[in-house]
Amino acid sequence: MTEDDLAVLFAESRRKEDWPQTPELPAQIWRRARTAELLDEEIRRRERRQRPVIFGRRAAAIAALLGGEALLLEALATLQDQTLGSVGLTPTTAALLALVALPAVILTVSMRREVVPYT
Amino acid sequence: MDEPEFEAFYRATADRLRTYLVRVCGDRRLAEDLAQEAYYRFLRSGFSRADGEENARYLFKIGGNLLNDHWTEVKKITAMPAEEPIAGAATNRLDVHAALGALKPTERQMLWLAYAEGYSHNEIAGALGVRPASVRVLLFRAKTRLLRLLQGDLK
Repeated sequence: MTEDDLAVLFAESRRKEDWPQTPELPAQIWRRARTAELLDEEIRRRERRQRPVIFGRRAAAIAALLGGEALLLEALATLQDQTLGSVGLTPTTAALLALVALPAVILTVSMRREVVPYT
Repeated sequence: MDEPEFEAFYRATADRLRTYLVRVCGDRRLAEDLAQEAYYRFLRSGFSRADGEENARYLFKIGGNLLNDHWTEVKKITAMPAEEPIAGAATNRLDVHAALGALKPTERQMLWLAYAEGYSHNEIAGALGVRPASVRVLLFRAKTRLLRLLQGDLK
């Protein structure tokens, strides 16, 4: 059997296969795809609209964190002479603790907020 | 591709795609479902070339990928059921169909694309995601097995 014979055999096999014709099917597939496309566009548009708000929120959170840290350091500076020496903390250790404390508190509170509704 | 263009493309390729899928998976209902999904994904991909055959090749590639996904999902490759011969209507179609059923799915895909669709080795490699050099060897093996089965059928 040659290559041409095989091609004829396969072509005949293909030609004799009958499939139900559903004229409305391509339009249905088109509408399904178009709907998904419109939905995707809408989601992307919303994301684009929300981007400045998300960016603003993040910037505000960073500013608030930096402000909080500055306040803590300032409070620490006033306490330094009277109290820190008595509990055996060096100024550097106390400053590092203060810098870590605020993010730790924020993280704990935000984690609690996420976990509590499900418990 | 706009709606009228898509409808024309569908009319030109639907039977070809469904026949390809049913020859590879052996299940008409599955072939119809996968064909619909393939057209949907084709539209969603935004792929559109002036050459209709290039679009068809891309569609066949999606169809083949969907078949592979389906098989991965069910964790087994179903053997294609051999068609019951119809009395007085023994045709080459039945012989080819039955012989293909005894081959591996990849062999069925390669043979169908090569001999029913007239794909080149490079085009088969693109559709099945294998190296063009491998296609030559794998296709030769598949053809040898098919011929052996067909000759056994004719004895």
